[in-house]
Amino acid sequence: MGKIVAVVTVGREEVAGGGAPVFAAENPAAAERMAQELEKALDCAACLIGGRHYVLIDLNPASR
Amino acid sequence: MSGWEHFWRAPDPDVIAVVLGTAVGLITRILLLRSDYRQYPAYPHGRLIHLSLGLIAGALGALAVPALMAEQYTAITFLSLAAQQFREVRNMERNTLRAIDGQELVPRGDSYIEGIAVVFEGRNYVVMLAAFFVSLLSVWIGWWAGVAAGAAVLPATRLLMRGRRVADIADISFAPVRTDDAGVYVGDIYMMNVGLEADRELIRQAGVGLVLVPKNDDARVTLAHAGQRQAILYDLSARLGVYRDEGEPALLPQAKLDLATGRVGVLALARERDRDKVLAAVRNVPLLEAAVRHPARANRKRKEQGRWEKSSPS
Repeated sequence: MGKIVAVVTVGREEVAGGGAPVFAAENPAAAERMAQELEKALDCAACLIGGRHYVLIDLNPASR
Repeated sequence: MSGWEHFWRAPDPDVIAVVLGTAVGLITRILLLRSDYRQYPAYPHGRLIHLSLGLIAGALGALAVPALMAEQYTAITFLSLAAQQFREVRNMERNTLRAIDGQELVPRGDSYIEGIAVVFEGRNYVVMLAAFFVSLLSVWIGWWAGVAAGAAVLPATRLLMRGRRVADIADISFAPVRTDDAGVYVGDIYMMNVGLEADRELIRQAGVGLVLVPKNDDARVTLAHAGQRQAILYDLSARLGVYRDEGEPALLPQAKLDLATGRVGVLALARERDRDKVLAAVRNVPLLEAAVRHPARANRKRKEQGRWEKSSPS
């Protein structure tokens, strides 16, 4: 099962609750850039949820 | 006494049988030890280990016959000792492959590793049986019968140990790779969510999409096995190259099931994109022993009815 490691969003008000740090971006372009940088840094897949929230998920392949 | 008889004494028939049996055993092991696209065991030391064990297996199988003929029945215990050794081979292979698997860009998966380990153990028994058979005929009939048996056994072992392949259970066709917002599809099968446009562009460019349609209900269960699908991805990556590195989780090849129909969509990011080569790579993926099941045979309706009729009072 994947684990949410971080969230990047332009709609800060739609994201609540804890566990993972939330990065607020000013516009979609900035959000995509942040998600890309986080994807490379964390080795976690950036998934786009609801068209405006990037969720960085640790897919954790079974053999690792 | 004159001539060459002075130096040469005809060897004992038992010795001939043992030498013949051992030789055939070793040749069998060499034939079965192909270093193919899986590149294992391609290392000189890996090969040496397996050839040595093959030699030992052949010698044990061949020696058993003259020993039994001489009523040395304890020779059987040596065979059980050999079985113990070969089980050790399976452990060794499993541990090695599992240790390597962590560093593979596309891992083999535990099911594939188990399959390979079992094959390595099984081949030693094949060697032993081949040597036993050749030695037996050589002692019973004559050395020429042993040679003939060896010639017959060698192609037979290759045929018997070949195993089935994905092409036997599934029809394979190409399907376009497309993206719809963040979703990536192969044909109409949903593969994964890729959030970044840059990654989606890469997948559209380098992605190779395939759809595997199971030929029957048994095949459907086999293809649904996650280990079998991982084996397909590993073989594809090994033969076609991978477009991937650490820190690129979005570029992991995927094999997803279409639940309604049992079809499997395969998305690989390959270096080699020649259609014939891609097709050949998928067709030749071995079926894993762990994944092959025959539920259709077990659930056959006629049997069910027969049992019902028997148990119902009439």
